[in-house]
Amino acid sequence: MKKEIFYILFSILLSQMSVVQAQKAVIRGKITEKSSGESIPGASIFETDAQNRIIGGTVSDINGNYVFEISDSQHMITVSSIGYSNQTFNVNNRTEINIALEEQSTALDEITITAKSAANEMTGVPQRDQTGSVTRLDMSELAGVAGSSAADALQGQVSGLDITSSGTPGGGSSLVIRGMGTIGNANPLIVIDGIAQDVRIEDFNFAAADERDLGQLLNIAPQDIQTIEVLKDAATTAIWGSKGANGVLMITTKTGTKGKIRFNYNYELGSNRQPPSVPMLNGDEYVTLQLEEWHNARGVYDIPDEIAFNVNYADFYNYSANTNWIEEITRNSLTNDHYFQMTGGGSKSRYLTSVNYLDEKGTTINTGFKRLTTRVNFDYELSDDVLITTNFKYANSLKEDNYIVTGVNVEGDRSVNIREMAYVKAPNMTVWEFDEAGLPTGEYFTPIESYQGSGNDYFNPVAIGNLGMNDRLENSIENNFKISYTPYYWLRFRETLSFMYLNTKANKFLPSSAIGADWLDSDINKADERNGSDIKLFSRTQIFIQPFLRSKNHDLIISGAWEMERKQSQYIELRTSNGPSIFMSDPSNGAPFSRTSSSSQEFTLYGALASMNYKFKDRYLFTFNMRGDASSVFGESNRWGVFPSVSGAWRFSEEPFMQSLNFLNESKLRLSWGQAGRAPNNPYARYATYSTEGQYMLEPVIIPSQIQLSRLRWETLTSVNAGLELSLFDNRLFVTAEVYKKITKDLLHSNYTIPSFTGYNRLRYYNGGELENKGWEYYMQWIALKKKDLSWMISFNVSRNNNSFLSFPENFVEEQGTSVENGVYPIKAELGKPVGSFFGFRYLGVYSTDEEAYARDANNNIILDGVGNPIPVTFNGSYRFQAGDAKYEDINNDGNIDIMDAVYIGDSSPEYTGGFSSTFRYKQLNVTLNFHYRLGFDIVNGVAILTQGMNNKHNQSKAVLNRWRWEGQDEENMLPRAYMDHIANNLGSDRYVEKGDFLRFNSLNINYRLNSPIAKKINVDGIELGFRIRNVLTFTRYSGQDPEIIPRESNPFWMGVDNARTPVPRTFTMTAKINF
Amino acid sequence: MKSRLLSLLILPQFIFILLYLPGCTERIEEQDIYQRPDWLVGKLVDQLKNEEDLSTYIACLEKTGYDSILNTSGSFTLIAPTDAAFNVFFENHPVYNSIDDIPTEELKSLIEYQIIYNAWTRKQFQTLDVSGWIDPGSQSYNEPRGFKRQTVYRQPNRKYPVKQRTGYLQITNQDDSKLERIVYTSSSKYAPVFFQDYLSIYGLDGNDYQFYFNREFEPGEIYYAGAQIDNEIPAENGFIYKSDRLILPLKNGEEIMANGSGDLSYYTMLNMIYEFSQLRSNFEATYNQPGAEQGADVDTLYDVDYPDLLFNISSEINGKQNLTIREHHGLLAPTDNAFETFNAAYIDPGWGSLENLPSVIKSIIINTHMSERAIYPTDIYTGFLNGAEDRLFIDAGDIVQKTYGSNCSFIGMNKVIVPRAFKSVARPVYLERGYLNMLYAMERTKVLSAIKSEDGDFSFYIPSDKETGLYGGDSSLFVNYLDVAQTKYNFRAFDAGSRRFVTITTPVLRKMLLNQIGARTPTGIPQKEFIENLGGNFIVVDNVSGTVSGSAPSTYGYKGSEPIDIKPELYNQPTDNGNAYLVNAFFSFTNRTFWTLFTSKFLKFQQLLRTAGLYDVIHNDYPFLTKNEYYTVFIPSDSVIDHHRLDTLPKEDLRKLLQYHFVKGQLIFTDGYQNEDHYKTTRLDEKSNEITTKYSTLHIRPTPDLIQIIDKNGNVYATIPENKDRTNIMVTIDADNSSDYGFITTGVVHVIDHLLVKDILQEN
Repeated sequence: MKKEIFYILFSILLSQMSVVQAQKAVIRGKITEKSSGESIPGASIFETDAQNRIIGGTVSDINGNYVFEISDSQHMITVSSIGYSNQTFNVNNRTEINIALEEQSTALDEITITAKSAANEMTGVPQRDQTGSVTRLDMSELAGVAGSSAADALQGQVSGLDITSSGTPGGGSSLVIRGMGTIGNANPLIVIDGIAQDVRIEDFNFAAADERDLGQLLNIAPQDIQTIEVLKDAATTAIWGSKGANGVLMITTKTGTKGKIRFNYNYELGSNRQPPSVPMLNGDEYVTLQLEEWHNARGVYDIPDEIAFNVNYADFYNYSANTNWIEEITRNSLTNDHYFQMTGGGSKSRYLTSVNYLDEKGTTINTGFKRLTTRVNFDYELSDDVLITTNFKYANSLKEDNYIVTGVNVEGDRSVNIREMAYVKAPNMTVWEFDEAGLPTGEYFTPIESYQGSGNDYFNPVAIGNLGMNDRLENSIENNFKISYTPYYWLRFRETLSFMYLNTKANKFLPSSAIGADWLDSDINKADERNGSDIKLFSRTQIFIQPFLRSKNHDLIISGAWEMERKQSQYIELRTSNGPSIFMSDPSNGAPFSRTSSSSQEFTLYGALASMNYKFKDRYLFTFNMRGDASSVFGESNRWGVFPSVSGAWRFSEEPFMQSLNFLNESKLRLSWGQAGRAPNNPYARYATYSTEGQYMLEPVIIPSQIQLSRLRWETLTSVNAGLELSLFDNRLFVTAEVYKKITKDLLHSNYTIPSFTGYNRLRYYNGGELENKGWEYYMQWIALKKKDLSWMISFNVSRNNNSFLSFPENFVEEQGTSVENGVYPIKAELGKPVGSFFGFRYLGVYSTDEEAYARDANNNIILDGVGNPIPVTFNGSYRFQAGDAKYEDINNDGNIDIMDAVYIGDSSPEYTGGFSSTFRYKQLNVTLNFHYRLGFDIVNGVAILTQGMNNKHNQSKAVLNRWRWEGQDEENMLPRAYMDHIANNLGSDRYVEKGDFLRFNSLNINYRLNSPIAKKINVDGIELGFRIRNVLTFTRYSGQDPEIIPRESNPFWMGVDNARTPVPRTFTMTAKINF
Repeated sequence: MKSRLLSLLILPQFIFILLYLPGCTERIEEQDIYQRPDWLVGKLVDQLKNEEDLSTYIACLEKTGYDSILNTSGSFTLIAPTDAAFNVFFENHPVYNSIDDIPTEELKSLIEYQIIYNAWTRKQFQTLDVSGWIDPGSQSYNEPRGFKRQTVYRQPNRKYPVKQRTGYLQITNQDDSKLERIVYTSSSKYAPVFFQDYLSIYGLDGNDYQFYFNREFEPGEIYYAGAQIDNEIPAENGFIYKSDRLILPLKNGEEIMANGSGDLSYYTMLNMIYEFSQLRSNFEATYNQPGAEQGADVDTLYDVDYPDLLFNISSEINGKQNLTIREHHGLLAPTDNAFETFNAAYIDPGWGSLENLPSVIKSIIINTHMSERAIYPTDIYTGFLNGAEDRLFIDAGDIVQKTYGSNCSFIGMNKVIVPRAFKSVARPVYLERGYLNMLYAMERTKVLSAIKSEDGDFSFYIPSDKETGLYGGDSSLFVNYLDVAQTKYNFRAFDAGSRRFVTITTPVLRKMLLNQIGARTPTGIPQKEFIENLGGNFIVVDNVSGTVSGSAPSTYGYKGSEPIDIKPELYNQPTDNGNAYLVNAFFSFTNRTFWTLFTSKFLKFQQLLRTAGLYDVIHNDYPFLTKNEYYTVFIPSDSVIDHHRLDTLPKEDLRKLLQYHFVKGQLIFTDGYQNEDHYKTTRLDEKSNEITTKYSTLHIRPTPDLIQIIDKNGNVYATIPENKDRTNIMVTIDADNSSDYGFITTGVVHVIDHLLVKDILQEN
């Protein structure tokens, strides 16, 4: 199968090459330059028929001479050469024809790179006539804010598009359009050059699925992107049917431009600096805190030598340090970005090829991202009727990450990255080991057992970071082939074929020198390799009919499309432990296998689209789309989903009665309604499954583990949108305002809890309930100054979204999690509340004295027991609160803090998102500022939970210096007492729910283009030098390291937790561009 | 128009932003939450420097380097002596005029003893128990018994002369040793903290505190050993308490005795204690010494323990570490002079000298002077339990020294407390040579505790090693050593029946010993006396022949068949709870049931029981008899049975008649020891009803050598003279089924030449 695909691929490439080969001739002549009379070598001479189809051709020799035999004397001859204007003429039986070409007058530095007014890929409707909510960004305008990915460049630029980025190189971003329209993965569909990019299907972890989706996006060099369109309402997304419910991000890559061959080389050198981390206790303060925790909890205890601060202890030098673990794993890093582009084209063909190499080092040690992408975009007009377009892309990326130690018993049994460990690791421990005399041994200090626990659980993050390996290598190939045939001016066919292949190789290795474990431990020299491949075949057949194309008042475009998509993915994983050497990181090292696994999946989708667009007098626009999708995810009865949309627009600025308003330029009102759908990510969601767990009568058994879901159906999103586009004052002020409402029905709940008497605990999926998103958006662009040498443009956008559950399924368990314990929040969903709501206790401070901890009734009277003694407030009816303990609001005044006192305390959905920017140009100097803000949302500060609880052996932040120490102490904002294993001092409460509002000065870009004369002196067309700062400043009240939290959790009802992921670094970048 | 429209469209946007983001901070480290709070005071030494009257103490910290340690990390409570307290110290220690005169190491130990681990508030000093903080509101409320706190002071490891014992080393005199070993000091010192609640819980008062610390105890105040401390001064890493005394590190029991000299020398006691020391290498401590990991030459470190004594006088930790905070032992240490007197009276006559004493006896002497709890004056007067589990009362006049040690209260005495073993009937076993088998047997079986009470009147028949041991004796009991060092042993005997050596298990051994101990001393009046022993059987004292036996004839050897007479010799030294007799063999005892007796010697009576339905043929049992009940049975002779044609009686009449011959609840012998009384029989009386059960009675008058049956008119109906074959025939039951010696005597049978008829003997 793979071989066949490659044969097809190379055949396509060869066919592209063959069409530009020259043929023999019988006429002669010489091609010269008109002004100087100098001969022009390499000029193309074509014979074309009546349909402008090339019949044959040749090129001029080194002296400009040519010999050419034409097939028909009635045919036309066209002569072209890069940098010269084409000439077309009849042969008229001449045998010698000398042709003088005129040099093209357009200089490179005068070219304004703007997007052409492209038609919609699916409907054929020009962008100007779009009736839905679409924001279109030309990347040439975003050059000043471009980071290493397209997502970075978009941040804060599009109203209604909420982007949160990761600081880990290649770590991806989260994109949410107009709020969470589903409970789960809300990332929009990404379409590149008309091809949807969802290659891989994973259901087990939404976070992983996000990364994969975004990984596709990341494998594009930003410089290759021509435009990005953000489709927001259902009228525009409906044409993408089953995938468009979360919105669509359409990316169009650059194509070749006619003219002489041009080269473009960009180089960027960036320096990345991580923003300051949460200030943590030093070793001295940590030891004091730990002793205090034990003392308050136990009174007396065996003081461990590691925290006894005993100079006679043999390991004193290893446990008396002041190590800043965060600093130890953080570094300033460099990014090198090379981009080379070659483009050109003649009258029939255009080409663009580019190579991009990015080498970005992360600000966390031993992380990085290397990417090599190449792209060939080729357009060839076989004739006036036939256009062939091919896109070929190859990407190679290597993501170097830190080894993630699994099964760690630090905060529950889970995986812990080195950053999380750096926060909790005892700072009195050293990075490097010292002997008893205080001399360094040259080894990392990785004791098998330390004060905090085993070396596996509390590992040395620097050792793991530097010695562990967690690499992910991807190779992807994508080839798109499109042929467009227009037999009549009103009729057009288009066939699209696409092939994608992705190979992934993930390697992990944990050498024994990196972790404190004995030689028999399974973590010793553990090697893991996972190889996966994904293949996607896609075809689309389209027809476009424009019967009134030559009519003055009417314009009708009718289009239809038929799509077929088939995806396959598979992987195999091998893992060995206790390998023979720290230098043999491959699982084929002869060590015993500890894990082997494999999987394969297949998925098929059929789609059909009918579209009608009608325009009357260029003022009244009407669109109707009907999309139908059939997915193999569903059973036969629910396989097809139909997604209609209707929209209209009134270009009121063209009305005669508006012509008197001189300040008004082209403006319109829009109204739309539409539906889009969503299917489960798991291609086998509906199947009953069986497992072999357990036994009966000492015999192995096979038991049903999942019910067959015959009635599983599409999640459907219905959207209404009203928009106003205003262009004013000679197009110097452009304003867009939108109001929308989205209702998602038949919500797809994953792992849906059902009564256990059914024999099952959960359904893999269940449809039910409604979710609403409503809001408004506003975008403004103002060209404040527009003179020859001076211009200033500012833009601003804001969007407001309200998200809330309208209904739940009848048997829905609203309490998804009822645990009330330290660091754990009850997980609930409530009608009227948004996805990602937080529930928990209301934190009221600290009990200063024992008397303050007496329970009180609703009238604030102390509650007495049977003999008249006051009753202390209890936790879950057992623990009695005392002086120094955390104080929570007793909602029901029963003297007991329990689940009944947990209330809504915030949510992670932002109320307002947006950004603003300023672009200032003076002669060759260009200064661009870009800001991004996110307001009205809450963050559960997971780092604070870890570092302010003072109830375990974790290191804590400097905030704990303000802790209760003795009875009667009552200071402002004082934290509870340090108390080892306290049962209730760190409950999930609004103590850790913080306002995440932030305004980020996203980027400052300064470019200077050298004068043309200077450039010509050094024999190039243009040179541009620049300096860019990314993540310049962040203004926030959030006490964590970075308020930009990716809402990415495994539980859809629990999002927006700051889990110490690498924050977005501050990047200083020098740029240089050379055109020649 | 244009500008107004522009303003309308643009200005609100910036106002919107400005309203939302006032007061934001860009740098995280500048956020208020991470700033050091203004109220947080400095670290300990910084806080000390704010006090005016602690200059000497601060100087001490600086001189010892503790100023930087305490100002770096950790969590401590400082007991800071004021300048005045130092002056008191210098007055009491005239060799020092200033801290500069104090050697650095000594000064360091002084300072370290004034530093307690962890930050203790005054309230916390008074609300601690072994399991943690006291919660007064808790249902499981416990009293604050924790009163000691761990100080930073830890003594250096100590070097001891040792000698080799099998399996371990032992501390010994310098003269006896060519070896030295370093004992690892495993714990730092603990210091006592006294407060009113603590004293109250143990029934103590201020006098008890004053007894040891020579100062008044003021309720409401807290005392750190002998120093009164002030209110706490908070610091970032602990608390500071000013104190009015500089407290010297308390010494443990061993140190106090080792420091004794002259009239207060405790050498004899300490040396005896050292014999019970066991040194075992501590590999962890050894390996943790600097350089050990790199292969440097370091000393092997040892732990010392005293497993046979009540507590480890060398250790700062009492039991588990948490218990240390509330456990404080008591030690009474006789001076060397006191031991000289004691030896002359008790030890030397039998053993020649103290050195010759077996270890088990030495351990008794030592444990007699130890107490699980600290000893206060209140205890001295009300009595307290010592390590030998005796309640002691000591005379305050015997006290020559009193010191509150770090692991025990210490009282020096000019008199040795004589162990009960030396005064009781066990005295010959413990103080005479030639009874080692019995000595070890008693220690193994803990029988001593049964016969050392002052309230007893025991008769203890003690077989000697010479008569019953392996060499020269009948091998009925001897100690069988299992190792060369004679530290492990069991007990064995030569079974004369099977002619094999057998192991005597501890239960059998215990029964053998208890069978040798009569619960009373013989009177000497009747011809034969039947004295119940502690084993549940009877010792038969024949006052005519001067012999003593068990319920069966004595034999030579363990389970032997060769008859032997046992003629006891009264021990000639005073015993205060009965008589000790020296004998030449162990007693033998009958082991037979009613069934075996009746079917072997009283067949006609047995047949009558069967006819009357009183005999269960299947189980060979008598259902009307309760297994563990005592019975005295008067069996009519065969001639009487024949004469009265009892076999012809109706079944019901026969049953009633026979049951009237079984006296329930008493063993009546012919020694006249029991009282004359109307004894219940097993016959259900006609006066019984559904509510009340009554038994018919026999009027019996036991007299020396004769039992009389009295009729209902008060006349003697029948007499039963003591007769070797017809009276005092004892029967037993198997009490525990576990061994051959598990039986106890529950019945005695007398043959009578009369028929006991209720109508004659009991009024209706």
